[in-house]
Amino acid sequence: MRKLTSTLVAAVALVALPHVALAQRTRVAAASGPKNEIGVDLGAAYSHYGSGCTANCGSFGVGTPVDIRWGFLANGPLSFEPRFTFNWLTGGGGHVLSFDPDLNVIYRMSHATARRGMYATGGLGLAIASASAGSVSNSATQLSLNAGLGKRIPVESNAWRLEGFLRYNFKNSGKGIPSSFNIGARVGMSFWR
Amino acid sequence: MRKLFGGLVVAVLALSLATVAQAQRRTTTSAAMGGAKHEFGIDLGVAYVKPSNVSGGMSIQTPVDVRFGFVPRSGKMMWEPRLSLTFNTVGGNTSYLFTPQVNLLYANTPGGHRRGMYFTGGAGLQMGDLGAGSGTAVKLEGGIGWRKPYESAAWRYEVGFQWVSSSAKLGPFADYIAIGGRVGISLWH
Repeated sequence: MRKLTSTLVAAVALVALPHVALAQRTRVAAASGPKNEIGVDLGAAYSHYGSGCTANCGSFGVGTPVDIRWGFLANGPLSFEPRFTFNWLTGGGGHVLSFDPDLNVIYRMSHATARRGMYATGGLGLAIASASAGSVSNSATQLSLNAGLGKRIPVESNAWRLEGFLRYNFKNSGKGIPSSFNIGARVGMSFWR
Repeated sequence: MRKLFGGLVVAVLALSLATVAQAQRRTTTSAAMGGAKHEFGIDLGVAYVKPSNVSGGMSIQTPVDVRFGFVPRSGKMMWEPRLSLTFNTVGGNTSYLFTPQVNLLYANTPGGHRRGMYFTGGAGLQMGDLGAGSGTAVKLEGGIGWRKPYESAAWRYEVGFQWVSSSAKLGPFADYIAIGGRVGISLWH
């Protein structure tokens, strides 16, 4: 009888153990959640050049991928999202380089979450360009500010992301780069990991 | 004593039932994760590019393109379209470059399309107008790659070669061979 009792108690303990472990694992998984929102977009924008422009000051562009956006999720309504492109080409003794890093802050509107709903965004960016050919080389940096309003629309495990934006590119007098502004939209997909 | 046994047996049954249910739920979840329909990815590309009759050079670029793979329910082969687009119009002059391509990925390991080694080959077009009229070039490529799981995503490494046919109108975007690789992240949905 004692054997039977201890066997039953051992069985109960064995069966209960995985529940405890599983409960702990579930809690850890829920606490960790996704860490990053990663996405690329198709973008379209009208650009207008300001200072120093005399003719053909407007242009329209469409492109994909616009850049890589790699957001860091946060518990609060604010989160950070770096965006960047990088191109570097050498050959024939020269090179061409362009590096456009941006850092945006994303603010979730009320009732929105990190995965759905409206958000507002604002950011600061740089457009760094450098080129050389033979003994001649040149480089320039242009500062920009951007702001936008967007929406995430869930689709299965990821989401469509639509964003309308304005960007102002400051002039760089020393390098002869005029100021300009862009108004446009970007449509893309967000994935979480 | 009989009551005690009865209670213990009921407790064992109740806990077992919950465990079985949980096990079933976990199986379903795993199947859902394993049953992803698309593999989406972005990469950094590094290559040695050798244009025809011109000395070669290095190229580093990110994002290279958008790749959107269609994960099959079964089988070792998977289709993966890749594309990039740049279109600009200023004062009535339009320029563009559109590079659609389709790759076939052959998973060479039991990890299927989520992990392990794969072979890939693809064909595509370089279609563009850089201001001197429109041109089209054909692109062929082949390579070998690896997926390395990283939490719910995977790092993806690929090395290979690319050949692009000549097109006088496409300038530096045609008539070259490239040897290099791409490193990026893959996400599934």
